[in-house]
Amino acid sequence: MWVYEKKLEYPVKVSGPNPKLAKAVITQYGGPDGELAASLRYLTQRYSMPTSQAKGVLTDIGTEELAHMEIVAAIVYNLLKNAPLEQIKAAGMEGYYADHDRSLFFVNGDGVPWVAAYIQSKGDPIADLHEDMAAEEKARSTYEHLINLSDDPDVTDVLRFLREREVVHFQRFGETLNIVWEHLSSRKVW
Amino acid sequence: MDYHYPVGCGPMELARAYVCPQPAYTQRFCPVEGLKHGTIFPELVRVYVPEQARPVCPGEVGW
Amino acid sequence: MPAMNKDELMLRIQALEFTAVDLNLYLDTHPCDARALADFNQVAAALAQTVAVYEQMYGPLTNFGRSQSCGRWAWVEQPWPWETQG
Repeated sequence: MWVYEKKLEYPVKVSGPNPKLAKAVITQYGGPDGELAASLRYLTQRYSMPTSQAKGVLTDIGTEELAHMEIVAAIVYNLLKNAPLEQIKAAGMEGYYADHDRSLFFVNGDGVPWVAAYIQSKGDPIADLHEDMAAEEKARSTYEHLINLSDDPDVTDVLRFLREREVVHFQRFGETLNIVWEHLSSRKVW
Repeated sequence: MDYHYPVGCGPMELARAYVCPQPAYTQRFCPVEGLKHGTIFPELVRVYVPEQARPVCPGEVGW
Repeated sequence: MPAMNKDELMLRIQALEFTAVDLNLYLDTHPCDARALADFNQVAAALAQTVAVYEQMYGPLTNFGRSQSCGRWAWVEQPWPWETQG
């Protein structure tokens, strides 16, 4: 089960209201390669992993991704908080505002809602771990695009942290792939 | 339990992906430095140079 | 531990816990690294100590029985982690 710690994994602050940046960053909240997708993917794959070590890695990284989802939410929340309607309109966020005001919802940068088709739990541990490695690379790449887009150095600082975490997660999933492969080979189950 | 990885130490198989395992660490960043870097392990830091900060090279693609 | 204000304590907790997270993930794929395990336990102890100091002054950090709440139900008090600025 989960408990909640009343702090962010990494401190978040923003320079001021910025709906234009919020509209892009929100993809890491509810988009295809974002933190909701990552956390649900790993937390649902873990049940059918063949080794205790793999269950541990997926549980731990899945839990950390929930913490990252909270960080992205904090960024978007603070970029939208007190943003005047003029800025929201200039950012092309009228559609989002009409449905959600300045609250957080699970959409990508174009307002496309999150869908379970973004993730997979194949039940084949090799396939699942390759998907996880790909997911980390896609997330890293998205953070790089957001870093390129960001005109707020405070936000850029947080994006850099989140990007580096994806590099580390890729390494752990890769090591888990090695371990699971060796385990399956030694058992000669396939 | 001890894991032996074949990476670079023996025959590698076809149709199989390998990730080089991180060797046992000897150094790590102090907690505040680690937090700033996004990892406590210097060997896992991969610096990103944003698009707008890269020197312009004609014909260059990617990173 | 030197005297720290609320923000300094919170940063210390974030830094120590982050170190524990990164060590936790490392140990998940290197479970036989005894040195890493000792390192992790040391960090965990320092984290617990810092959290205890913070909670005594500023209220509970964790819900569902992990932290005590003295005198009042401080859990539901402001601010929440995403409300980082005025």
